[in-house]
Amino acid sequence: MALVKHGHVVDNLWETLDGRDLETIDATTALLVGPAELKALGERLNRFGRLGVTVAPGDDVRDLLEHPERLALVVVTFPKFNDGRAFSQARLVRETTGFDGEIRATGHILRDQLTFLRRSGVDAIEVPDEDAESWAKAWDAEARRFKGYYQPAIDDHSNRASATGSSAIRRWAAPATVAAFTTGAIAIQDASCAGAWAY
Amino acid sequence: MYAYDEFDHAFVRDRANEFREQVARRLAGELTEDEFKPLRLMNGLYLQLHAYMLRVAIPYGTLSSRQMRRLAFIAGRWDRGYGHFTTRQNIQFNWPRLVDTPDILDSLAEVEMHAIQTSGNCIRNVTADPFSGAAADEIEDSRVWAEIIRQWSTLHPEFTFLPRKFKIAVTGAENDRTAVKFHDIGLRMRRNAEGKAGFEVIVGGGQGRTPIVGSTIRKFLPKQQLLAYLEAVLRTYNLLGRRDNLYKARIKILLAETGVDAFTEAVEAEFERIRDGALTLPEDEIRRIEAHFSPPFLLAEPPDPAHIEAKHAHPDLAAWCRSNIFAHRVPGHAIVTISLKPPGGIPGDATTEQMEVVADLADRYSRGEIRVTHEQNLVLADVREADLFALWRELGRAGLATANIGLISDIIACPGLDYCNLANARAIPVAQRISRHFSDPALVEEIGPITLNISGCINACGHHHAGHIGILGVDKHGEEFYQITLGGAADDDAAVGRILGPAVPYDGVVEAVECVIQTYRAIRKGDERFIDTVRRTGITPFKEALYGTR
Amino acid sequence: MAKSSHRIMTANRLSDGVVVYLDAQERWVESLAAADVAETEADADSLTIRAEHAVTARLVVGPYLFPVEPDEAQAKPLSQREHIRAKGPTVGTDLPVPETGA
Repeated sequence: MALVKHGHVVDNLWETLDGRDLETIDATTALLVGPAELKALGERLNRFGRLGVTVAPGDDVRDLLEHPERLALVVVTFPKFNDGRAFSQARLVRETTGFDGEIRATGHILRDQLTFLRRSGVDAIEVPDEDAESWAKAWDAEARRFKGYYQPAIDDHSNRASATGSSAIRRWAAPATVAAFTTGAIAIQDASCAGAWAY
Repeated sequence: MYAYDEFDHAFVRDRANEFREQVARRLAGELTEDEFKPLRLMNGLYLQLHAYMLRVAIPYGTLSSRQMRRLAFIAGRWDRGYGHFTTRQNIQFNWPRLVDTPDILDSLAEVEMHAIQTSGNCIRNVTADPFSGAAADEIEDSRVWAEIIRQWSTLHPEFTFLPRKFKIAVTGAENDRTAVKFHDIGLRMRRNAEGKAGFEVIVGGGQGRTPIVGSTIRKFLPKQQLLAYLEAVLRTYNLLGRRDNLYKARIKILLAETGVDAFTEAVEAEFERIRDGALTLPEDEIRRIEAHFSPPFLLAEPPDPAHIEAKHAHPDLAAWCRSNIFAHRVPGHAIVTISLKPPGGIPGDATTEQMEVVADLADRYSRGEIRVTHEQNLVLADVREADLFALWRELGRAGLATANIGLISDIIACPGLDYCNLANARAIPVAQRISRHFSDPALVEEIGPITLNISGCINACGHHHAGHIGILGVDKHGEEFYQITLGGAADDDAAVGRILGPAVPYDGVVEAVECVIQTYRAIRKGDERFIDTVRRTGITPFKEALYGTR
Repeated sequence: MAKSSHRIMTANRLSDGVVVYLDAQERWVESLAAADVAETEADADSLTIRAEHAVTARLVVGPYLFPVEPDEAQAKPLSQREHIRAKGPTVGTDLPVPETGA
């Protein structure tokens, strides 16, 4: 399986235990385990420089990530694309656990969900090798689709102060997408907002 | 009413473009039907019995005359010349072609309309009081808050693939006109001891297979914390709601299985975490939205002698005023409900021509604004008493002056087996027969206030559980049968109706309703309303009258 | 409800949602009378395979078989649902004659 991270195809160097004995695995391996293994193997995992955990949709991510500093990767799963628990899980990982690494989504996802994934804090998706390039293109295309969003979220690189009012809930999307849109003067429909449209 | 600015226009156009691409990908085979279905549902496009069905959003039931004219145009251009107003204040078109829907969405976007999230497992149209801004018993205009919630919930990245659909209602008046206790989240405006306005939060109400009245989980929530609290509820539901069984996936089930206290604790814990964060509503944002809903300046007027004279001269006008007019906060004005329930008609349907008439009348008599009620009628909220006679006459010419609001022939019915894929039985012909049977205006008025709701299947889109008389269509060995319930109510004393007895056949429904009404008329005390009699006597006298004392 | 081994394949046309039936010439037709009637299990399987091809070819959506009464000159659905699908809504789209106001 290939990885698309922030819109680029990157090598997938992560390995799972795959039934192997932990002691036979080299410490430089990027090792991805499940929550049961994380708990059971405990300290024996400390020697691995890059450690990741895959969570199931029903898992409590706050319980699982007791030591977020030891982890470089959290994988959230979509058994079916309409099981939306992973969005909340990613959000909670970003906002509550102190985890600082990569959040990756795996399973059955649609390109129409890429904006939601990105805005929930997901950095990367796992996709079939033959589709990697088209997913990378889709990631970028979807990031440019909406010029603004109606609610705060994790990853929209937005500056609320330059948004639609001094401290609004809604906000323009990342500057790159706004630049694509603002080629000329914007007709200001509500004169009272005129001062806030500062760009 | 809310007017789009550049942000809103851009969004709705981007969304329409996205759907155009999705339709193209479907037709090109890049999306299977399984993958396309949730995407089209999130733009309100169903595949029904005969055709696709497009449910267009009418946010909290408020629309302008310009928007109504566009709906009329769409009905004529891309459908079969009519639309159906729904029990959630939206409108449905029954015959659009998939290949035309991108053009329809573009046309809607031109007039600040869309079909976003009118279906799918996401937050649906937020409903509000159809008499907002005009009724005397109002604390605040509920539509301000419905608009704020609408914006926050639009394409929320985290809550677009919930376990199941999510319905929110907001009421801002002393008397609830939104069935607030029958929603996944119901928000009642309240004043605290200091006189400040905030919300009582009611969760886990609903109809369908397991009807239940919601539970209050928060007695008072300050306004600026509304979105943070809603996010806490939705996040808790998204994570913990059942995913294994479609019929047990609503939040009401989560509440029942977890227990109200444990559920509330989980919500409050998450709320504490995010309470003072990015979702705190800034004062200027509240004021920005409020500015769109400032009450119109209306001159108080004394009772109009010409109007009084007209009522004497035209008893039909007088009757219509008795049933279709609700008191306005400004003397000399009236809130007019336009009945879409003519005798023998299809409840909630309006033709292209009728929609155009209503738009025109709204312009001339009610500041160009129309509301849709969840009882499938229309409202002109700010009519001068002096204009009522002229308005009534013009409504009459278009078949829109039936004097039956809140009376027995003001029937609420889902489309049923005539249109809907999910239905087990027809609902519309049952409604037509009942309304034809009760077409004598004097009798209808004498029976008094009563709600009668018909659903063609257990999904209860006709809200039959909340009807004073509820009728549920079922399939018994391939034949249509109808189960009758009594005592449901959607008002402040919300209750789920109780089954009267074995289901009656299609040909027996009118007789059964007639029997129930006769029993009521025989046993009522003074001018008790139907529901008051049922609450006093219980269902036994009705059960015995209908089924005997076996 | 009576049982029958006679079945017809139906679906909705993808482009416009119209109710269609599979006929003996691989065409999806709007008229129930023109539909191919499968009398045996093998016939029904063949209809199913042809319907699946039509789904892949993006012609139709959600195909399924439904029983019809045998021995009729023209196929008659056993279920009311299929009656209504074939004939259209049982209620008119015309509203009753408008009342005059005064």
